[in-house]
Amino acid sequence: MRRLHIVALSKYKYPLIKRLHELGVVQMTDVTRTMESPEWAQLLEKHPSDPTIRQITAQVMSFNKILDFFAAVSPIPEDNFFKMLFSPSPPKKLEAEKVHGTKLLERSQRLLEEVNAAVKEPEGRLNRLTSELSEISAKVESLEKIRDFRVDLADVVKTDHLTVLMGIAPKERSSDISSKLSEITNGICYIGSQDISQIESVVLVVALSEAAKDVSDSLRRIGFERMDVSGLSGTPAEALSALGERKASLGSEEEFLRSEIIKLAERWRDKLLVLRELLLIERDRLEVQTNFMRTDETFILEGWIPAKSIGSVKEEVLEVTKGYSVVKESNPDSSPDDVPVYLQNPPFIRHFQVLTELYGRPKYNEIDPTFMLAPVFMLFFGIMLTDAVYGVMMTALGLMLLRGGGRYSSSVKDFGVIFTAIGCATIGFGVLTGGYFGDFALKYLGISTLRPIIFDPMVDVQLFLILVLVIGLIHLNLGLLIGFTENVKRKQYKDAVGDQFWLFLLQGGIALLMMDMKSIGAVFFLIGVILVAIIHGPLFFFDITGYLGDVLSYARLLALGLATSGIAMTVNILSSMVDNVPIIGIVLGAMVFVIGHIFNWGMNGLGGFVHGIRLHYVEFFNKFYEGGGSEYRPYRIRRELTKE
Amino acid sequence: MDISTGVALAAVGAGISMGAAAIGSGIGVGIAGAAGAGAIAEDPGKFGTALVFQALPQTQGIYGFLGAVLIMIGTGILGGFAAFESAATALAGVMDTTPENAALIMGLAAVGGGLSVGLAGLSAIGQGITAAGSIGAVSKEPGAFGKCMVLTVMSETFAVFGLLITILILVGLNLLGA
Repeated sequence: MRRLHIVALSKYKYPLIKRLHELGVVQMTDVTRTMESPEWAQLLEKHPSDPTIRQITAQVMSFNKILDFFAAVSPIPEDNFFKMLFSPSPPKKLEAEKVHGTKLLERSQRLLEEVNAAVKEPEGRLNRLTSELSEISAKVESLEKIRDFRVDLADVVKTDHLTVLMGIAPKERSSDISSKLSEITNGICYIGSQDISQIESVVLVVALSEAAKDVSDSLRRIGFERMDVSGLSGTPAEALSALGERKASLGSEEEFLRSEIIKLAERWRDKLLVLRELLLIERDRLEVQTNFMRTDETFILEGWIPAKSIGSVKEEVLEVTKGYSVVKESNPDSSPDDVPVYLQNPPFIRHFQVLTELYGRPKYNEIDPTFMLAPVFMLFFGIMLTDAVYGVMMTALGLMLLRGGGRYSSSVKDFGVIFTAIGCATIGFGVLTGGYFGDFALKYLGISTLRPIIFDPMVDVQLFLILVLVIGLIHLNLGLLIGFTENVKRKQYKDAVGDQFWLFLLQGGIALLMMDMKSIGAVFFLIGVILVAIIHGPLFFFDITGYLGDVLSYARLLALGLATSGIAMTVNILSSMVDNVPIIGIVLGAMVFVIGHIFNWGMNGLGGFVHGIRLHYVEFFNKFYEGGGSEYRPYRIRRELTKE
Repeated sequence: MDISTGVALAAVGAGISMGAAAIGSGIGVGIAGAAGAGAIAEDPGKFGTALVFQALPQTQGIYGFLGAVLIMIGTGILGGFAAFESAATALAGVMDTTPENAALIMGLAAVGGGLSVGLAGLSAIGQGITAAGSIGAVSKEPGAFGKCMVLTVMSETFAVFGLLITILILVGLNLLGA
């Protein structure tokens, strides 16, 4: 990664940004932070923010409003989770004109006006319809309660002299109502009521209009809820059927309107989406300028660029600016904490980067451990799943992901490749140890060619244990070796000795002791202990026990491997036991077999995956790897819907 | 020869293995599940995450089950006693004792093996607590998935060692692999 500095004439600013945006390799950084010294401050001023940005934002918001309206009436169908993974619909790619700058803004303004003109009227009508429909529903709901109340709703009115009120009140308060009202109106009122349920009754009150306000106030205090029946006539039952007819006719009108709007959406949606994306790209080009600084006639920009792209970018810049520019590059400073990291791994290994990044992206100048992680993770997973058929299932899952979601989504593709790879490793280890649904092939089908080739994990447990511990020792020592060379490269000799070298001496000493070269072995061992005691102080003892714990931790490979074959064996025993049941036995046996093995595959697959990761993160990375670098995010065009 | 006491002891061992591990897993899964239900209440899309974390404390129960089955196979409770008799005879030769006595020793070893993986299965309670915290963390910050996974798997180390010791005891006393 190198630093890139470009100074150019202001008149080439937009074309230059556009070209860099299209190239998509430079990660822009804020110049104002690097040019803080007073001399620079005299020469340069901060690049102002472009007023067009606001205009674009406003337009994008109007676009969103229309698109939201379209989506509410005719939603865009989306794939569900499984369809997305295994058979996603191809993403839509639309043709886009090559317009930018003011022309683009004019174009989108025109489209906006056109669409608004077309949409405004149906949108308003739809809103009116929906509110009328909900009003009707509310009326129907309250009328349903008084369906049998004999009253002409047209009479429930307010005239100059008389006011008629109708509503629902709690049943036990009806005597309160009559006493209270005759008190207020001196007896000049009529009260009719009828119970409509266990707790409620409908109440009709006729009073003089001059007393109407007092009457309705005291009624409200009693718990009377007034019903709005304006515009209705006939008995409640008649009014209900009239409302029903109205609702039906409004409903069919709404349906028609919706189909009209769906037609509009079909006609305009894609155009809106395309222009919105173009507007967002345009806004990117304007917003990035706030990172620049400028003089009257020139501007300066800075960024990060991968070393391999420097030559081509330089050429492009000079071409766009017709030579009126200066392009400089420099190395990152000595404290490279903010340098973005661009990971480069060979094609197959690259897909395992996701596992490294889960722990932390390598820092700048730190080794990327993915090249080691990929093969070793495959090996570990193979040992832990130990079954050729489970391996085939894993591979099939991986291939399905690759053929499905992997076509369009890079993260699905990563996991597709990982699953396929670890599935193949499992097939390999399963064939070597003779695991085919556990002991099914050998014991139940009697296929003797499928016997274990190297050893049977359920029989030669000690051999298996030694094997995984040796694998652990090799793995840890590879980690130590990488850490040692990295420390030596960075000239951190004290760390190289205190973190890694003493362990080589210690292990070498133990090996010599075991090979009967007692005196040399003891010397090596002691030097190792003394070195770590000097460098790490009195707590050095825990370094030794910690390393021992690291080695023993690899025994989990054995435990999980045996768990897979042990449970597979149990499933086989169970299904053969059920198989003895008369008549339905064979069906039951098959069910136990299938469900049991799928369960075992799923649980131990998950176990193998997380423990494989854990051995890397906790035991292996611990020896040399820190992580925590920042991601390389080049300034590039984000296209989701439009073609180049 | 009389192997009945040995087999009875082995049954105790198998029972402890499965039973204790089931307590651990049951409680651990319960703790994680409660946190998962909380996360789903806020966003039903978190079901997948919650399920993965809830599955982690289940492993201890599976180890306990495996330990019990291995003990039952080794002592013939599953699959017949003939192999157990010959294994006891072989062990008696090595230990210079009677086959009956060897069968008794093997039964006691099965109790020890069952205790190891069964009690280690209680580590699932701790794992459930971490898993519950992780479900909350990942609901807020999906990027923390991998790291939370590693934190949660830590507790399982002891269950793995428990299973390992069980297997080594069974192998060492001719109950497995002979």
